[in-house]
Amino acid sequence: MSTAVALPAEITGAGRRRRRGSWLISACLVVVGVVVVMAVFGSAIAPQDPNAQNTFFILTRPSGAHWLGTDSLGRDVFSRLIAGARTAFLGPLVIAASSMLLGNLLGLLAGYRGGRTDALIMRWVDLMWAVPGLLLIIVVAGALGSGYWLAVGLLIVLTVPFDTRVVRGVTLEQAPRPYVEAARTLGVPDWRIMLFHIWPNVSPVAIANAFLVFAGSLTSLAGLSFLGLGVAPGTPDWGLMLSEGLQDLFVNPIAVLAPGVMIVLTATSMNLIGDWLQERLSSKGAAR
Amino acid sequence: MKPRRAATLAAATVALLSMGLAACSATSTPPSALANAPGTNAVIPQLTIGDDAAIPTLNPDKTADTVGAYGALESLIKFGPTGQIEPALAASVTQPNPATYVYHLRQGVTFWDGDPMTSADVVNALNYEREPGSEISSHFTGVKSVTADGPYTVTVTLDQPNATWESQVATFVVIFEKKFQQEHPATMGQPGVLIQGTGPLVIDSFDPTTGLQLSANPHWWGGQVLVKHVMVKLFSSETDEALAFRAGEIDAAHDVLNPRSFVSASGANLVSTPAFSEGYFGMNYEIAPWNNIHVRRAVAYALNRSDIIAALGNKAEPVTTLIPPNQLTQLGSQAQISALVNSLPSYPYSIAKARAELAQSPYPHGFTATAITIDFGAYTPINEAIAADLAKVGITLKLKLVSFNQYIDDLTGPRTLGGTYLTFNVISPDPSSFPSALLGASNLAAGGWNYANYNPAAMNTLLAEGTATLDTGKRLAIYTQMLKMLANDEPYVPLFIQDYNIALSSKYTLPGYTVWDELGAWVIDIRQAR
Amino acid sequence: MTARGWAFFLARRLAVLALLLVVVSFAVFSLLYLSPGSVIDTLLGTNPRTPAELSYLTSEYHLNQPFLTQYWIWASQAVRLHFGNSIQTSLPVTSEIRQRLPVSLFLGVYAYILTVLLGVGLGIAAALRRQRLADRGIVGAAIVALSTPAFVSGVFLIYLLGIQVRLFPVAGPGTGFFGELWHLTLPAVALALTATAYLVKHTRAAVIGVLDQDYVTFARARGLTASRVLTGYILRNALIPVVTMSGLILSYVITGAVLVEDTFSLPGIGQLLVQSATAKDLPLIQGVAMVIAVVIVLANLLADVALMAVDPRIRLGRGSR
Repeated sequence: MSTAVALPAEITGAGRRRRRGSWLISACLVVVGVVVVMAVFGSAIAPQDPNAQNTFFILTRPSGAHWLGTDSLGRDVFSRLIAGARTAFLGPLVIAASSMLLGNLLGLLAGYRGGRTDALIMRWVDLMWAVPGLLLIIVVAGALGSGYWLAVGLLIVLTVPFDTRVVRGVTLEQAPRPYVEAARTLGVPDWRIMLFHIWPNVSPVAIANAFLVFAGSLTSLAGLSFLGLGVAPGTPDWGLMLSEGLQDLFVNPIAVLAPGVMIVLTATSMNLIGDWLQERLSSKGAAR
Repeated sequence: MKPRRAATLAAATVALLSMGLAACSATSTPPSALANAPGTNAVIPQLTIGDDAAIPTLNPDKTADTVGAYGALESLIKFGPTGQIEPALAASVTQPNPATYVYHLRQGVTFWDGDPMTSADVVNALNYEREPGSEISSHFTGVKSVTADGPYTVTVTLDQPNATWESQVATFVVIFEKKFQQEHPATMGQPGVLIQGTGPLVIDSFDPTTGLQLSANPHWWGGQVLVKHVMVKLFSSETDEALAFRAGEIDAAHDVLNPRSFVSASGANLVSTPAFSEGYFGMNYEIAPWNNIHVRRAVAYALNRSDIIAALGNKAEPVTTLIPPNQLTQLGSQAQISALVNSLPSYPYSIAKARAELAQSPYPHGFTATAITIDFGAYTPINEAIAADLAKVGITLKLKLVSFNQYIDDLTGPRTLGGTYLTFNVISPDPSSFPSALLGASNLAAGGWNYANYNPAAMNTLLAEGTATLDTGKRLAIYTQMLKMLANDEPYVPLFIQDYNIALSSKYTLPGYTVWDELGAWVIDIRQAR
Repeated sequence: MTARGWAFFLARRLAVLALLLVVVSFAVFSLLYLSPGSVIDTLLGTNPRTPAELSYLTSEYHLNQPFLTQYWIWASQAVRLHFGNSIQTSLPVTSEIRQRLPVSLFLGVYAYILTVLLGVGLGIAAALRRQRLADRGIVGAAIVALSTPAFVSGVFLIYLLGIQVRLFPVAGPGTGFFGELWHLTLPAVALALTATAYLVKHTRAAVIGVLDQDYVTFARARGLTASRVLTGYILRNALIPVVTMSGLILSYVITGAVLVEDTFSLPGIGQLLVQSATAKDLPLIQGVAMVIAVVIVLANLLADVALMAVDPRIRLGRGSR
């Protein structure tokens, strides 16, 4: 997009952006890296047994023996924080990836094909939205028993319609464009058009959305733990630690702050990485 | 710092700072001893009370306990401070024979609409509460007939003598106006319709979403009511209640189940009283590995009562008998009861002994099992503490959170669970309360609470004998035998007895609060602090 | 689109809504049927139960009837708009819902307005000041808001603005219009935080996309003032994500508010849903599910209509519409 007119600074800036932002992205990658290490190794790298209760030391403030203090059953908060990374990270990752895969496929189909396919898919999306997510989770969890992977599965089912709608919206924008028309005239099969022509233009939004979904799932799973529908009681898990610790906020706030900070930090880092990816992808692959 | 970095971090820090504010100003207020002090006799114009129970309706047929607790509806008799039976709407009770009770009603008692209470109202109320559709009808089985023998005399005849009848009347019977019920047969107790009672607090309005509004009954037979208006606000959870307390939106909170957290979050004073809420761990006689006596004894040795009480937030006493000692004192002196309890086989905390017992079982190195828990009160921390204790001897208890209904269903239906923790709650002085609800063949049918499937033939005989006689000496002997049997077989490991807690603002006191007040109008005993 | 075209479109959508209601009610019923426990457990709780009582309650609520019979008993009344009584309270389902729906609607609309105002406003501001301090700050705050679970933000709002500074009440829905407005401010903010964050991100992305377009550069080159450019092109295109997401946002704030309702003890639809599901109160949960389905489908319908009104390409470029 080169013109002779002097463009306002806000519109360009691609060059400057890449140089200054890299510090922040590196920090985010470090954070995510640390979380992944914690998720993979869990209690192996924790200083104490995350499940060791000691009712003499209930809700103590941070000290030499317990760097972040203890929780309402006397367990070491720092060790639980490390062990809790696994359930906090793995679930949202699976949800974001699966939902992106399925949502993009359905959204592309709906937006590109239109007609009956679109109507069918969108009515399915409407149906999924008409059955309230929370109700579905409560009732299914009641029938099959609550559990972590059940909650993950259900969240995938509930997030796919959201992804579908977003991707369909962008696809609808792209589908009438000249390059699509051109590809069709050249006899390129539909599926190739969708995957190799349209999707690269959709991908920045899709990928950024996936990272948003990750952050959202992180908090949804925490919310489900709050309602008792997530991990089993006693499991170290950031969401569960947050909801359990809330009632003792005034005694050992660190027991609540620490998992809260980890959730915010992880989600924020993932989001910033997603944004960065989107900007890289959109300035590369745009065929406007 | 470069602007960009600062900005990104600043946004995150805003959240942290606000949390930090919480940290800085967090104090844990120790409960004040002044909450029980006698107060002044000044009139209290308005009290706002928080409750996190649901109050679906005021109809006694459909709800077992909420209406009486705010003092609106009363019974014929009530419990005094030591659990002894005292007159209420019945001025006196006579017993021409062990299976017949004649209630001589108090004269001059009026309902809130001014109509006098007569035997017709009492007979109607009793029959209404024992008809098959009534939720509390199970407490009236064994009643042969209820008749009015005059405008102020009601006779209740039982099929056979029953030592628990008086307690049942004090706990479950409420008297409402017959005329009102007949005018509103289908809607009595619903919002807008309400109910007609005799109590010190008149129900002005009621709504399951917003709560109750009550005001003092100027014509109450029991005297002057110093609390003029009461507003009961309903909350979703104790944490919300605690925060509302701290914000000054309520003056008191009823039935606090997590005392430690509530006190620290609300800054309230706690008034506590020993109650009959017993927590115990039951093990299924019919399922391996729990059906092995050595496994059960190992569990009994391994459970550390002081640990578990600390996990639940204190305000509980350890107990080793399924029948709470403060019910046994109905049948003997304190000294006698202490001697009795000490003479029973017991399992004081010892990991070594637990391991030794386990070694004699088919599972010397322990085993893995699942236990269900619910999101209610302190159930989850208690279960986690139990699991941690059992882990020390190699028994891995995996916890599974289920819904309240599923929990009840599992325990009262198929009973295929292994070891489960339960808190069972009664408000009755009678030592038969726990055995008659938890033991014996009658409680093995669907809906009964004998989830350990514990049914030795001798137990059924003891259960029947225990309530069939009114002689305290005989009953003490019978229950002693029962406790010996239970201690030898250990199907249920009694853990602790929880207090009832009421949180109060420092402006008020609640002198003389006992568990018996829960059945009546504890609210009207609140006084302004000096 | 012609009037007839609109009529057909609406008629089709409403027919689909009717079908949806049938499917939802059957799905809810089946799931409830499958889940363990029974409504009798809610009614009797820990009270001992006699066989007479059990059989009375079982037949009263048709609990021993076959699966389809139980569904039919409910459905045949429901089509006549008789939704029966709640088993727990014996109050009519319609009055139970009527008591709670206004709070949820008020809260939902309040949160929605806050979301749109903040989301679009901050999104545009961030896009216009792209790569500057304000942009990073807004995006950073949005991400933090997105990452904070609703029950946590609720508790902190209560602490900061209800306890430390007694500006707002911390529980209950209040009475009267201004009473409700005051009581529902903190819950609306807690609810709006997540939705606002999503909207900020999408609006910002949409506006950036528009700013990069040729026609904006051309308009500027022609000498149009910044505000003409803004309102003329940018705003119109920036509103697309708002409209696309409005259905979502509206449904979320009305029906997904259960965590916020729980934190602030608001008697709303969300709480009723959870309560009736865990208590297995079939008439009540069916009634609530129907209401929620209608609300969501109507919200999505409104969003689709608005989307077509705003973006001609979608309206004209698709033969099926």
